[in-house]
Amino acid sequence: MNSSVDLVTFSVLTVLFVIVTLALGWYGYKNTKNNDEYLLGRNKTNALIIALSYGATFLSASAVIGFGGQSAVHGATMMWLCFLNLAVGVIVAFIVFGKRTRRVGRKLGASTFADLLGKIYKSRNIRLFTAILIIVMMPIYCAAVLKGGVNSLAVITGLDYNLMLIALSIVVGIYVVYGGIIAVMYNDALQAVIMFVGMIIIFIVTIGVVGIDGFEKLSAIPISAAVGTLPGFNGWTEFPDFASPEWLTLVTTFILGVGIGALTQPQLAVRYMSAKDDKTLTKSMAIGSVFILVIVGSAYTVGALSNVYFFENYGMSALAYVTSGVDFIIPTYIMEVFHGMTFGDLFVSLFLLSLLCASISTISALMHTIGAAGGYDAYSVFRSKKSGKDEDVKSIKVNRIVTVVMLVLVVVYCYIMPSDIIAKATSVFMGMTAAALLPAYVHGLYSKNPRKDAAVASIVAGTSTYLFWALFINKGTSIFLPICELLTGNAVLFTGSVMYVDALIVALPVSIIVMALVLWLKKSSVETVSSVAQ
Amino acid sequence: MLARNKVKQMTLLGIPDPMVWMAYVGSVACVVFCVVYGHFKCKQEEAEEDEQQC
Repeated sequence: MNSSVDLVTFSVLTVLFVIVTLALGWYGYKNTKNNDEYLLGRNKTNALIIALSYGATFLSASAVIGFGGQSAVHGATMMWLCFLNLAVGVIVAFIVFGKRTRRVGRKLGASTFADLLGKIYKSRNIRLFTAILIIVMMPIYCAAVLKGGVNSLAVITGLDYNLMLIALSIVVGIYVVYGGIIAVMYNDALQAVIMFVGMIIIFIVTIGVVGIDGFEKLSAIPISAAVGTLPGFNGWTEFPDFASPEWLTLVTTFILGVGIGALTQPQLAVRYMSAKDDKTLTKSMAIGSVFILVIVGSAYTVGALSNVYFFENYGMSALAYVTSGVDFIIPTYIMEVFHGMTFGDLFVSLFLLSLLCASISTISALMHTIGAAGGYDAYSVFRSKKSGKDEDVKSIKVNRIVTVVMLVLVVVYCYIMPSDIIAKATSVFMGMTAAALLPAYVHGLYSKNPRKDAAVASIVAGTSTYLFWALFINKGTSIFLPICELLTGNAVLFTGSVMYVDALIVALPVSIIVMALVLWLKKSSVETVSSVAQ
Repeated sequence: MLARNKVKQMTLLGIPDPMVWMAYVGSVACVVFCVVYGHFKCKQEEAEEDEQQC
């Protein structure tokens, strides 16, 4: 790889950025007077802040580096994830879920996603389960994003990985712990603007480098140059063969797993609940859609087209050249392309800052959500069980302590996680929450009399199916916790196409069917009782 | 020759496979929908607010 970034330029930009970030953290701190404002900040933001915060939280280093890198490997087919991000993650999310979540959340006085589900179903256990799911699974996702961001920084700047990891964690920790959701959302908005500018520049430069006929050149690269693809791959501008391992991995894990999983993200649901009214959410939807198209549309397109650059200059595809792994493709590409260009160092620094922002915006939202899940939801349930009456423990101090403890855990995870993990960890977290909670969430929002037993059955079925499939059947996810290997000596139970099928594809239908079955059985038994009584 | 022309006609942005370029078309269509829907819905909600105030 060519020489690293001009550290002076990058340092100046970073110092300025950190100053503004901490200033916004201070603003959040001064405007947070109670636990509700710490958790939700209702009426403290506007449509633009919500839109940019939603987009920046939704899209992290996983979108730019993780999935951008996967796009370099698997091709422009990854744009279907962009489509799902918009169709499901924005349109369905805001229209079907957002407004209803805001209204129901306000009516019930809910401050978090777990709190919302718990109050809809009048169930401490559902609230506790959701909180535990967040506390256990979200740090893995968070660590993957943090690791991705720091990896890129370390590769490009040549600075020490450990130093960057600790420094980044401290900056994020300070403004999340002290500033709460207000600091998080305002910083998200700042970071979103930087991401937006950075990705537009990268996209324009890429088109300049590969040419307007970039996709035609991409189509002309021989398939034999591909590395890291699976049987069924037909080229970077062709859809893979239906039901082939390449198709199954691309469609079920990357595209559907993240595309559908976006609906049940606790850190995104909080953004709906913080809106003042429906009009704010409607405006946010319009603004957010433009932002998401630019960020991920650019990332996936640049990822795919990076193969043209590497092939023309080195006779190799992206992953063949970048031997350190998928997550290093985009950073390496950026460094190469901007090397020697006028203002190249400034653009590299800006891109680096964009990556940093992409990571920070998501990490801060996740850490805030984890802190709330532990310090508010789980703690409230324990106190309620102890006292025998429902209570919401509104202690900013407890939230802050939990956030700090979990942040330390996330940093530890960064050291023990395998490489090339960002896209997979994102898919696992999003898939797990969708399988476990989506049917219960929909039923809770739209049913006149939401049934707790149906919700519990659905959650248990979805969670257990997802865990079993992810740990014992799917080859890509069993690496997270190699229980199957420990018990059987094999990474997964079965070989063949089934090991490429993502757990969400199985677990979500199971979860829906179980809910429908319980609702039908309960309805039938009520009708039977009524007819007997007559 | 007709088949080759037909394949060429299906190309968009230099991408030969419609199953791939449709993702780009769909993405842009989503954004257009969001902006247009947002515009009209906001107007409707504002009109409803004015009526309620009256």
